[in-house]
Amino acid sequence: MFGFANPERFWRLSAILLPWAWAAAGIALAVGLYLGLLSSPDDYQQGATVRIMYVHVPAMWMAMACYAFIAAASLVSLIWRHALADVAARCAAPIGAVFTALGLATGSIWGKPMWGTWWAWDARLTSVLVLLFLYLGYMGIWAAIEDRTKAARAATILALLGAVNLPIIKFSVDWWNTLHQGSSVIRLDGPALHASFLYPLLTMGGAYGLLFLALLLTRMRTEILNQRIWADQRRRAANEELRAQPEGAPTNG
Amino acid sequence: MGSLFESGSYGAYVLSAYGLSAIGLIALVVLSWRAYRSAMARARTRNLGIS
Repeated sequence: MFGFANPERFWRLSAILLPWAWAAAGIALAVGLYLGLLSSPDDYQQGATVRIMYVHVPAMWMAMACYAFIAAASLVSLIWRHALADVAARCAAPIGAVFTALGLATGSIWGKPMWGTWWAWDARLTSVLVLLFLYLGYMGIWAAIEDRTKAARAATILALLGAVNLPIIKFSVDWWNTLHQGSSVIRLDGPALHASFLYPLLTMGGAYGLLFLALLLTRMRTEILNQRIWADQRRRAANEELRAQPEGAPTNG
Repeated sequence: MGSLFESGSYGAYVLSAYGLSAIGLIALVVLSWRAYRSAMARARTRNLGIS
């Protein structure tokens, strides 16, 4: 895995992977949308609103998986100082933030007809809102601190501290009496959903996962390019400075 | 799909959820691709050996 963390090797491998990841994400999304919107039945209690589950649940899965990825990459960065770990964590954050915001928004849209309210200060909803703030804080640190080393250190600390929120989100429905229903897919005794609901949900989950991979590779390649451009700018500026000095004059440093 | 429009006001909730998801994800894809293509173009202009 650490061999892949070499930027040159990552650049070559990601060039091969990228078109396949986008194609697979596109196909999986098309199949998932067909299953979710056209092929799957209405629920006998929820009616058509059960279809909101096919965009809400995968968004929340990805929101949590993406934060776990950021925390893991931050840990790798902290311990082994791999060049790509910070890049990976930084590039994953906006994707995770969008998934979290979409999870909250679609959950709210589902909540209005089913619970009779757009929002409740329930443990699950509140802990997911905290997750959104963690994403925004993480992105804010990178945007606010100019020194990349200091920004990486501060962002790493926030990412690792914030990871405590992940089990709170997952088990909030078990630890507290919440309005949000308990787990119905990731359970020790197997999924509680009928296959006609489970397959569209898993397909959309896979599609969101592939989309995350395609977006992450694209954003990481962009970040690597920007770093190379920045290094080139500095090199050129240093050369210009050297050329501008009269022959025999002492140089700085 | 027909059941979406036959199920009273529920159809509007479903379509809103899918529409919002589509807007969010398409915006993320478009912004990421635009930034990538722009960075590629700048790197090529500088002859950074990007293939």
